[in-house]
Amino acid sequence: MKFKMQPAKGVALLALAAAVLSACGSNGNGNDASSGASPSASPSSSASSSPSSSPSASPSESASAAPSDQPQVTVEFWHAYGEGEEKVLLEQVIPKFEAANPSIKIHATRMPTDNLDQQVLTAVAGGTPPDVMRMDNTWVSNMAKQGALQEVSGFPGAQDILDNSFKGTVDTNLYQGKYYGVPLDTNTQVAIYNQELLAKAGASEPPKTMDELADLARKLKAQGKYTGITIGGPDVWNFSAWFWTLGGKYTDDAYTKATGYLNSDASVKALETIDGWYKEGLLSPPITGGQPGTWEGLRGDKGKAASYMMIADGPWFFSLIGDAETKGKMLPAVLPAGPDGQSHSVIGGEDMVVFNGAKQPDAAWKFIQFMTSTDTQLLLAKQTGQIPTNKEAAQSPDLKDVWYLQPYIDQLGTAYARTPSPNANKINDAIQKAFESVFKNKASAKDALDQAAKQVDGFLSE
Amino acid sequence: MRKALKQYAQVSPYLAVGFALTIVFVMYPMVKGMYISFFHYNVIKPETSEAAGLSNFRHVFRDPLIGTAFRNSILLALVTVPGQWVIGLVLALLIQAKTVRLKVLWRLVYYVPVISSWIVVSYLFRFLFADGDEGIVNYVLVDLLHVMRDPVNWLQNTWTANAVIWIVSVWKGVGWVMVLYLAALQSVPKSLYEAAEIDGAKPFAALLNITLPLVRPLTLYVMINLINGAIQAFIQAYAITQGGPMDTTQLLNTYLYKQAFQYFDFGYASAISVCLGVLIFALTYTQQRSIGRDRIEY
Repeated sequence: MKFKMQPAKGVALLALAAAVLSACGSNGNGNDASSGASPSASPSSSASSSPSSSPSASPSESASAAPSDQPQVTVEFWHAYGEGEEKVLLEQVIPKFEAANPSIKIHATRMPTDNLDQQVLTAVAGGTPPDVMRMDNTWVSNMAKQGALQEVSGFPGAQDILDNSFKGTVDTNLYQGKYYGVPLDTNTQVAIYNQELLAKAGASEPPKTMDELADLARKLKAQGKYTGITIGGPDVWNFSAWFWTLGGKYTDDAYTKATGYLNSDASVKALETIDGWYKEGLLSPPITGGQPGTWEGLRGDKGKAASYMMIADGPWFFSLIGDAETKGKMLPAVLPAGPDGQSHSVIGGEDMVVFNGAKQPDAAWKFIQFMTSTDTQLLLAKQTGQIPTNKEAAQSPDLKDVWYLQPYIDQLGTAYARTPSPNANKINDAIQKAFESVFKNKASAKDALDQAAKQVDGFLSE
Repeated sequence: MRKALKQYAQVSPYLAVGFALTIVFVMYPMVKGMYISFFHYNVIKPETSEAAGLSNFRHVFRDPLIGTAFRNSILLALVTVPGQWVIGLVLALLIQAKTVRLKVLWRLVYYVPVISSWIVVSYLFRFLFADGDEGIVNYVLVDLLHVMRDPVNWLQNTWTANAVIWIVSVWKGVGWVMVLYLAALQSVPKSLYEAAEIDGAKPFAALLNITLPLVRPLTLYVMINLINGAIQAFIQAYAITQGGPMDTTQLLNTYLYKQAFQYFDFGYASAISVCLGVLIFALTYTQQRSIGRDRIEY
């Protein structure tokens, strides 16, 4: 082998050097040349590189101080609490549990929220799952389908926990008629009004019905660049409360069928009503992804005055911003009622689950019982503003100390869960796309919902 | 003969490392990916995976979103491959020109995007093209230049969002093309240009008839890599639009990622990825074959 021409060799060498220099990723398709132009590692290879911490590496620290007759066990607990919440967990909740159960130690790991579901899946597939996790309630049925979770009915007192919790939060744990977790905390959206703009629209208190709200929005619009109704986006988390309150439905009550529900006349009418508001200019820009965002629009931002009269959001709006900026300025209230005289908001929250492959399932279950008990739920509610799923705790007069919480608890009484299904992600995407296509004038409400209903039927029957 | 064997024995440990790495990190995942594509694969309990036969592949050809993703991937290639190539070549010619000073500085400036992290660059563009008054691009167009009356929701419309992805892809890739051509241009003998000048050839004619034919092997190499990279593009779309609005900016890679890691449908995702591999192979095979065959005699 010899190169006849030096230049050709030079080119080859330089090309090689450049390919190396351009820091190209791995090439999953077996081509010998690596792609310097768009060196995106193929997704298949990124699966293995996603960081998975090894939680099982730490139980050794529990060896000391074990009472002689009881073996000391360590329960690995994953959660994604915020910073302030984690402090309460580590300094108050866990010490209390360990004092009551001296043979059990809780090793709590705060996980990052980004790509957390992938990390969980990786950990379970790799045989190193935690024992127990506080998990977003929309994931539970899919994780159950993947075989990651243990069914809870075999644990002592499981039925009691389920019976003592709000039905909407219990339903999030369903997979094929069985429960794979128990509710831990919950939240929902209520209307939050900017009191100044509410007065500007001519109201002294929050509107009671959707029609009243739309009227206020019209009055406000007449006074300048204001909007009276803010829906955070066409996704199911932000949109469901409005769709449901106005009479829309996603599926039948058993979550088995969407056709006849998602595309019923009532559903079409609900979507058309909201679309009518949008075309009339009553809706704030976030419905189609516009600026300013919901919080900035409601409170004013960077020298710009507030322009949204109301938004719908969870209790963290108040706990994150703080009393000084919200009390007396921002008014939480149950969402205005729809045709049935009620409003139906969307349930969010977290469930406690035990993993398949958990090393200490029984100790983990004890911790779950402790976390769902009235006392712990009250403690967490008062310290962090988290809404208890335990009915008894939710009705406790102690909660009155948290001034913004009452409307949320009232709202929860009539709130619905998003469709629990192993295909929840696909279902929610299909529904979101139907809504979005209407606002973008790509389809009529009827056509969009007909199509989505057919898709959702497919996902529900899979 | 014996000497050759001895040499092999000496280098074999070094070869073995390369082989082992290739097998573990390239061959095994590839084969496993193909295997998974024939199952409704459950990653947690692989033994419970149901055999799917060819149904994952049938689904690939019936899924309307594959159509969208395919269209976007092809469009990305059609826009960014010529875009990177032309701009990269022009930059190389400009920097090569006698009258241009500070050559090292220019090379550096255009090469910085290439060595920057994709994720950083993508986020940068996401903020540049942010919606409403927040984005710098909107600010420049509306408030400074008064070209438009209202800010554009760049990332909320199919074609403006796709355009942002194309722009970042071209911007990041031109430096790579430029550096390769700068090197190649230096190897073209000056005497040819002098002769052409004496014959009265204009610079553009010299470019077409001397430079381009002489750097043809490099052009092939560049093209293969650009096409390959464009079809495999992932991070820019994933980081800038997440495939939105309404999945209209999904690329094949972002869509299969979504199937795998958001829907946990690993079998289907693998089927898409196998089809993608076949597509890239088909697109570059003919060129691959001819690479290295044509040697140029000056």
